Amino acid sequence: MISPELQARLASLDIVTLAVPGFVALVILEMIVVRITGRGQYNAADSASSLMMGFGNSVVGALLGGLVLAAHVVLYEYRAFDIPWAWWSMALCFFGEDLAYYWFHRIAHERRWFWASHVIHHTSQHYNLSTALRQTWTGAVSLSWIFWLPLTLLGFPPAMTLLFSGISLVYQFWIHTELIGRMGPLEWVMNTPSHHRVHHATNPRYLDANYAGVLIIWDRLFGTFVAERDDDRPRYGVISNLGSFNPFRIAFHEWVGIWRDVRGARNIGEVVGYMFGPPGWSPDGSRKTSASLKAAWAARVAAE
Amino acid sequence: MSEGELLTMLGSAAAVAALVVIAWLLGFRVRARLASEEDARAAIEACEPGAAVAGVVLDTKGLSALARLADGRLALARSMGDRIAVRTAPSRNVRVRMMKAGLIATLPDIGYPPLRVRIDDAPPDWLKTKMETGS
Repeated sequence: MISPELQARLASLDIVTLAVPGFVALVILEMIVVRITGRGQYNAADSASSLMMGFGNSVVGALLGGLVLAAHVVLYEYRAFDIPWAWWSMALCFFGEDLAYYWFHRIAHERRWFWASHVIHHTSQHYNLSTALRQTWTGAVSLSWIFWLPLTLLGFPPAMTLLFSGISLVYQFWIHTELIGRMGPLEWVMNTPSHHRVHHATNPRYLDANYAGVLIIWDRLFGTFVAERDDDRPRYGVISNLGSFNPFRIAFHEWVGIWRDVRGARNIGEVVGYMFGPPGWSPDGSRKTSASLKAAWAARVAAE
Repeated sequence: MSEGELLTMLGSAAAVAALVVIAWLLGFRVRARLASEEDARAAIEACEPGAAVAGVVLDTKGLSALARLADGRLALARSMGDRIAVRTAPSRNVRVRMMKAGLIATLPDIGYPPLRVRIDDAPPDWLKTKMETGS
């Protein structure tokens, strides 16, 4: 068991806030290395918009984070088991949180409602440590947090889940870099810069792959793992890249798109399709989805 | 928001400003330009594999371009920092107007604000037709 003192300290640990000075220092270090070596790329305007998105995410978190935690605390009253703070339960919670993250992340790419919130993180055409901080402003209101509810309902204390969620977020910061190549045997188990470059790429072969948070094992297990290839270097961004660095346009463009589509829908099926179908879904199939892009690419490759 | 959170926010805002200044000072302020029609074609075709550009109107400062694809769609390209952001859309979904500032091409997407293309000469015939008929 863990002592009540340590338990209290762990439960109140705001690991993300504590990590912020480290984030800042590493971004500066990466910029200097990129300047000196010419490896990797930065653009001041792009980084400015990423950092403003990160700042906005912190503000929204401070305003709404309490409500999300409150929802978990309320539902914790209906838990199946009383899971104590112990080393074994923390190990289980680490794996459980990482699995919950995998499914959240996968569905955030496969269903437009959640994509509207998550797309923000993918709107940079660059891939560097500042991109890691390009975070959503609408995660709480879009109910992204429901993917962690099973852990609460199982009986993991919400503060424990929150702790590992924070650790996962901090872990995922450093993998947003082009400065680190491949990492040998770690590539088998851990989410690495190489795996996550694939995730951020718009090359057809890389679409909808590598949803891992900390452990890449979930992608290997559920068939979504794709390895980075030297002959197909990742191109970053989204299929329809944004034409603005304005944080408000970045934060809300997909929500406005959903609203416009739903307003023009002719029946309930179209409403559901526009809201919860794959990003790019349209009744006549005229828009691009990951599946259609992959199919077109496969056809081109076969023809060559 | 507590006093501690407010201080954290102020510190974060200062850090954001400092990082942007450092990026600027380190010279990460290159702006992509479409110096020629060929540049515009290359940028559009890179984003839209298989697309054939049939006509291009280039911004006099090289910061944007409006193009017609062989299949009738329009392509919009704009400088975004050191990258070019390209969108393609059916011609009917793009509103093009001639304003004092140049051509203004508007998509129904707030993620891609109206594109301004400064031109010295009269628009080509395909664009005149587009502006007259809307498609």
